[in-house]
This record gives sequence, structure tokens and C-alpha cells, in this order.
Amino acid sequence: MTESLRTIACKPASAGRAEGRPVVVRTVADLVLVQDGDILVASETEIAFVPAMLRAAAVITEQGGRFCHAAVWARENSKPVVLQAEDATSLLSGIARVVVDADAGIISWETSDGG
Amino acid sequence: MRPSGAASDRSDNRVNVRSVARSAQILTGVERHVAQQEIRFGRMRLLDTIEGLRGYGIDRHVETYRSLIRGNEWPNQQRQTTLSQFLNEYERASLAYVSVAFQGFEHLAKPGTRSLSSVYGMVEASEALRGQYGKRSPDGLDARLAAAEMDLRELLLPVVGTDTDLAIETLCTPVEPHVTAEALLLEDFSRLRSFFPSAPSMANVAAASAPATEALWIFLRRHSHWNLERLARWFREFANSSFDDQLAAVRQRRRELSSERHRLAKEIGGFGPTRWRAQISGLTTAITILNHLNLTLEPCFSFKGGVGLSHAAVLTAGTRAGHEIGGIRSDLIDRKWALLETVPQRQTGEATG
Repeated sequence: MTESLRTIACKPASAGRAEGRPVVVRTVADLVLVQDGDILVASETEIAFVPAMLRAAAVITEQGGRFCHAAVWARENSKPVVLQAEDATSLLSGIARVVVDADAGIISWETSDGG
Repeated sequence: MRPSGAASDRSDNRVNVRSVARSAQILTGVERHVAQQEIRFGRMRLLDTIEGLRGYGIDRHVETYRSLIRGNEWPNQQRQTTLSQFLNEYERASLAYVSVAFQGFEHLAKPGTRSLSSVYGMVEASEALRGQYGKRSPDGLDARLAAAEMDLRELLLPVVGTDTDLAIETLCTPVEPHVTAEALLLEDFSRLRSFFPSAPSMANVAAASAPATEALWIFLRRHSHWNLERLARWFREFANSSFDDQLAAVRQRRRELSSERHRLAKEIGGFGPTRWRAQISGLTTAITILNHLNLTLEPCFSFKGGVGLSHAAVLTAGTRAGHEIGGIRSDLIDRKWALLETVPQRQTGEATG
């Protein structure tokens, strides 16, 4: 089985780089799944996400502009956060590790061909 | 390159608020109104009322409410108003939303007092009024924010070139004295935990000392929808977290952001004519105010907050009973503006023309 590198270009909200297990959060109930050092992946964030965002090494969202909750929180907390990662909640489901490069605005992960 | 052109002319009309303190003034006024309504309604009664709303899916009220709003058309009208007029109306609409929410709680606590039709009609008008200043309105906060950002970008281009994104973020991210809901959450929880090492029960709430009561009700109001189960969840979530380092780091970062902002504002001050500098200052003030409201008033005291829960529950009850919701109807437009008129104009000292 061959592996290939997949990437998504995103909008950086706060600089930095992190690598970890992506955890897709679709509802508030999923937040308990986020452990220390995980990468939180969501469509957008809201205030209930704060404890999980503090535990996470980085945050990826599909939506959001430069002044959305995730972006301003990221700037205040100096944590790598990228926004507008199209289809990230679908593409990162079941993926073992993802690299968030919030300096370049890119997320990348290895996947089996076809995955 | 000398700044001039369309953005300058447009921004003169849009930006006529001088102080970034205006958003804090609105936020304080709305929160004071919520606190007064709590006391008038009865605080322990409010906790009981919320407890009784489980049948409305209170844990998922944001999702339910959002689908009710987005699944229907609302009569959001295009209007030409200055920023000062907009903020005045936004403040009055927010105050009306709170008052209607508590009338909704009255109905939900004692359904026989007033007919569902009458309460539903009022809540629907309140939702239409909130929507007029909301995300999907051509006259809403987000539309104004986008327009102001576009104007600021055009004005900044001669000075910062391709770095306009960074410049706008630096100049317009709310810093001291503004605090986002996320930062407030940690500060408020830290204070609450100094009085209550574990999640308080109804009996603890009733027996609390005055300072503990204040910290508790601030937290219930801003972050917990007056729901003790939701409050207990925050205690579980933050069980192993000490915020002292986190809060200190956030404060330090906010000071750095503030300092970057001052440095850039000073640098810009060295360029261009007075009118251009004034326009940049006006747009920066406008964007900061609108962002602050978006990041604090919206999550705490609008549809995602406890007052939104009341609206969601009444709208759900009404639609279950077969009432029409939203739509471009002249009666709803009339009721929306009539509701705004129930809240008097504030004397802000700012130009409204």
C-alpha cells in the first residue's frame, strides 16, 4: 500500500506549528474526546469549546474570518489556529496524525492511496 | 501616493462614533437590564423555570434555534443609517430582546397566564428585530463590518501595501479595555471557583453569601443559561485546570497586542492628510466596536445565550402548535418596528445624523 501526502491551504489565524491526532468535533458532546495535545477540528468554534481548545495543541476550522471567535482567541492565547480549511471535518475523520503549519497556512497528513 | 477616493467619501457617512467605549457601554447596559429582569422575575424561580424546559431540548437550543431561523425567510430591510444610528438601534433591539425573553419565561413558567398566540407573536417580532441587525441582514452588524473592512483596506493600501490583512488585524482586534467572551469565561470561572470549590447545588445557591452570590449569578447569566447542570459541566471541564498561568499569559498577550496597535497607529499617523488619518481612525474605531459586540454581547446575551433559550422555547412551542414563522409579511415588519419603539432612545452625545 502506498502512502501519499495530502494538504489543505488555510487561512492562518495565529502563528505556530503543531502535530497530533486530529479529533473532529461536530457537536458539543464530542468535546470530551479532545485530549491534551490533540488537534481540534471543527466547522467553527463557540464558547463551549474553550476547555477543549486549551487542551488542544492546535485548532483547525472550516469557517471563520479574521475576527471570528477562533481567530481572536488564537491571538490572545498564542496557539496555532488555521481557518477556512475546506472539508477538514470530512477529510480528517479517521486520520492518525495531522501537521498544522499556521505560519504557512497549510495542514498536511499522510493517507493511503484513495483515502 | 496620496489617499483619496470612494472609500474616503463612504466612510465619512458611515463612521461617526468617536469612542471605542461605546460597545462597552452597550454591553454594560444590556447586562444591567438582564440582571434587573432576573430579580424582577425571581432568581430561584428562574432556575426552576429553566429546569422545567428540558422538553424543549435546552442542551441543543442553539442548533434548534438556528434551524428555525435559517429554515425561514425574515424581513431584513436595506436601510441607510450611520454607525451611531445603527448602534443606537442595535442597543435598543438588544434591550427589547431581553425584555421579550423574560416575558417568554413568564409564559413558560405559567403557560395559562397569557395565550401562546400572543407570546409567540411577540417573540417572533423580537426575532425579526434581532435579525434586522444580525448576520443575514443587509443592514446587520456583519454587513457593516465587511463594508468597513473594505474601506479601511483601501485607505491603508498606500501605507502598508500587501500587508493590509495584518494591519487590519493589528488595528482592529479588540484589546483592553475590551474583553472577549472567551477571556471573560476564564476570569469569571476563576472568581466563581474561589467561592465554590465544586459545582453548587440549588441549596448552595440559596444560602450563598453576597459576594459569592454576585460571582455565581454573573456566571449563570453570562455562561450557563441559568442552568445548574450546565454550570456543573463547566466545573467538570475545568476540574484539572488552574487558570492562573493561562490568565497571566492572556493578559500579557493582550498588552502586546495593544502595544502593536499603538505602534502601527502612530506609524500611520505620519502619513497622509488629516482627513485621511481621521477616516482611518474612524474606521478602526467602528470595526473594533462591531467586533467587540460580535465577540461578547452576541454569545452571552443574544440567541446563543440564556435569553435566546427563551426565544427558542417559545418559537418551538408556537411552531408545534402550527403557527407560521417568519416570512416577508407586512404585519411582522410593523410589529418589528413597533417593538423597537418600546425602548427609548439613549442620549449618547454622539451625532446621529
